[in-house]
Amino acid sequence: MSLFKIVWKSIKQRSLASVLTMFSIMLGVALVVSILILKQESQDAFSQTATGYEIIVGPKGSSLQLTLNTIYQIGVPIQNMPYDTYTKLKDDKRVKLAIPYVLGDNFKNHRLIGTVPEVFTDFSYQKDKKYQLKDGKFFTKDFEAVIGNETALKTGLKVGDTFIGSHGVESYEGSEGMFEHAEFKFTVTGILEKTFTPIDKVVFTSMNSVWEIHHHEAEEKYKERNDTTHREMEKSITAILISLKSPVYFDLLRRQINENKFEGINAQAVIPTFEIKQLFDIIGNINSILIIIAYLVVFVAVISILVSIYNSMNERKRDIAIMRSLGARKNTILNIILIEGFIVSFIGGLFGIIVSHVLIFLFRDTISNTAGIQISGTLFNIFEFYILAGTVALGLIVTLIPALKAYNTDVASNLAPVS
Amino acid sequence: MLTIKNLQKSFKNADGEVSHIINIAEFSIAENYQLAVSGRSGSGKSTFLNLVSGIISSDSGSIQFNDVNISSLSESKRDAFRSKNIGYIFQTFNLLQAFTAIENVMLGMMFSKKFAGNNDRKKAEALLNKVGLAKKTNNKPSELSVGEQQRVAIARAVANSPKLILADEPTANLDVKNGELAIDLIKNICKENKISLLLVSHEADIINRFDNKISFEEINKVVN
Repeated sequence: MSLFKIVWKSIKQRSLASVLTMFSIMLGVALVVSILILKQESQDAFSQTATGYEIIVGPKGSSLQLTLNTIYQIGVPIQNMPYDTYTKLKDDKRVKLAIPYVLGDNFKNHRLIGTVPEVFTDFSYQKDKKYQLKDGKFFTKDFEAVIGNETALKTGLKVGDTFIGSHGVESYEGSEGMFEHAEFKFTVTGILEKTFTPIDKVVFTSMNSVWEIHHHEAEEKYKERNDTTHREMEKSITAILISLKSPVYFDLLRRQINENKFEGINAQAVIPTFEIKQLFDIIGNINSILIIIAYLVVFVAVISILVSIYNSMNERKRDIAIMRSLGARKNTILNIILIEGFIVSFIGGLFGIIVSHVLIFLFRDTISNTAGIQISGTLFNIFEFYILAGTVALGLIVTLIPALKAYNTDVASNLAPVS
Repeated sequence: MLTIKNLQKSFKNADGEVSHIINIAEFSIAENYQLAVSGRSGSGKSTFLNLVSGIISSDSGSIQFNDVNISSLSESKRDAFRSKNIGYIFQTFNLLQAFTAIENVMLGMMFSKKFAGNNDRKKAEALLNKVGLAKKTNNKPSELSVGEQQRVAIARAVANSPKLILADEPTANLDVKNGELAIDLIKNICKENKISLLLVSHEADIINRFDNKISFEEINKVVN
């Protein structure tokens, strides 16, 4: 017989109240831990998304818009830049690799990105990570397309299938079929392995394919106005991802572009990691509010320990008096109640952590598909230990109130026969 | 073994009036002695036992238990002393409802720390066997008859091998037959284990089963 056994008996005796108290603590802790895990893992994932290259070059305008649009495929492009911006940067001796993006069309809300074949052969989308084919082959000709893993899942496209793109980077409700470039059919040549980046949701094709569609579209409009003047196909690009030969060129090249000192280039150069940090500073405020709410939930849940144990004190007075008559010291009684608070808050907190990981693990694909980032839910962080320790400490503090009541229970009056 | 001198205890009622409950000039019990104290309900018998056991403290006087003056001990030390030296049998048995018969017996041992580990269980089993409950060691109080519950309480009272057992109206909740059986069991178990017994009761039939008896009014001279 030990104190723990006495406490366990007490918990079992009031099993419904004890389980409900543990359950409310579990929910509170699960909420806090889930928010923190998602924050941590998404921050890691978003940061990693941009680590395969150092600079993004795009038209002058909002640097955050350029970053969001280029890396996360969110929002509309700022403008387009002349094609020679790409060739000049590609030929610069300091540049190891330049990958152009040409945006303008979509297929069922999956953005078409016109680019170069080097995106598959030489480009690292994250450190030491290159795009891998799950099926088929990379495109070699115009109007061939390589689609992201999620694009394949959502649209049902397979290698060999054909599709028609729509004008604009996004479709909207009711726009289906309205702005389709029916004359140009794309053929799927390959499907990429899942990257857990926003690239899973796109369609890669050649730059020429995108340009040609838009050139054709422009010519059609001129024809409608009986204007038969021959015009050269306009070649413009939306953004360029730059990987440098050496980090020493990083600041110089960036400043040259931003200060209009790079001859023939009128653009901006942004550092994606810096922009992402700024983005997280904005999101961080919302996150802080969520975390404060979650902590309040834990606090309310821990208060339920106080309510549960305190409410039980009246029915436990006799048991306490019996134990005292058998020789239990006042401190022993105090410890019994405190251990009960410890066990309830510890089990509740521990299950909260386990449940949050299990839920994130079970819904990792849904989260990944929604947010376009890889969430594992299997990594344990030190902050979870702190949350558990904090919950237990708070549990012990609030349990002190009923514990002191138990400590001061009058033995003689509670041993007397109940009339 | 137990010597009481000039013991006084009074309580304040809700109106602030002081009621003198205990005023014992001298009282003693020798080792292996069994004494029955008779007295009407409300005469202060339970308060007297609570003072002897150290559950409450006296206003004045001394309770000398061998070489220890219980009345001079702190509450914590009185608890420790009680757990090692005094067994208590109550009118309402006072068993913990969530615990089985054997766990109730082992509880007293736990707080005294006289026994540990497997010895606790073995001794508790032997005691329950002794009181005729060998087959009901794992029954909870609600699964036992009132007579059986009192036998568990008797086994619990002797579990620590105390030097003195205090029995407060131990038969008040039992029928006549079970009451007689309980008294015989208490007497025998105390005799076998060389434990002194101080029993209080308002029932003449119970008091008459003892060779040594005294009226509580004879020893407690309260003047209000």
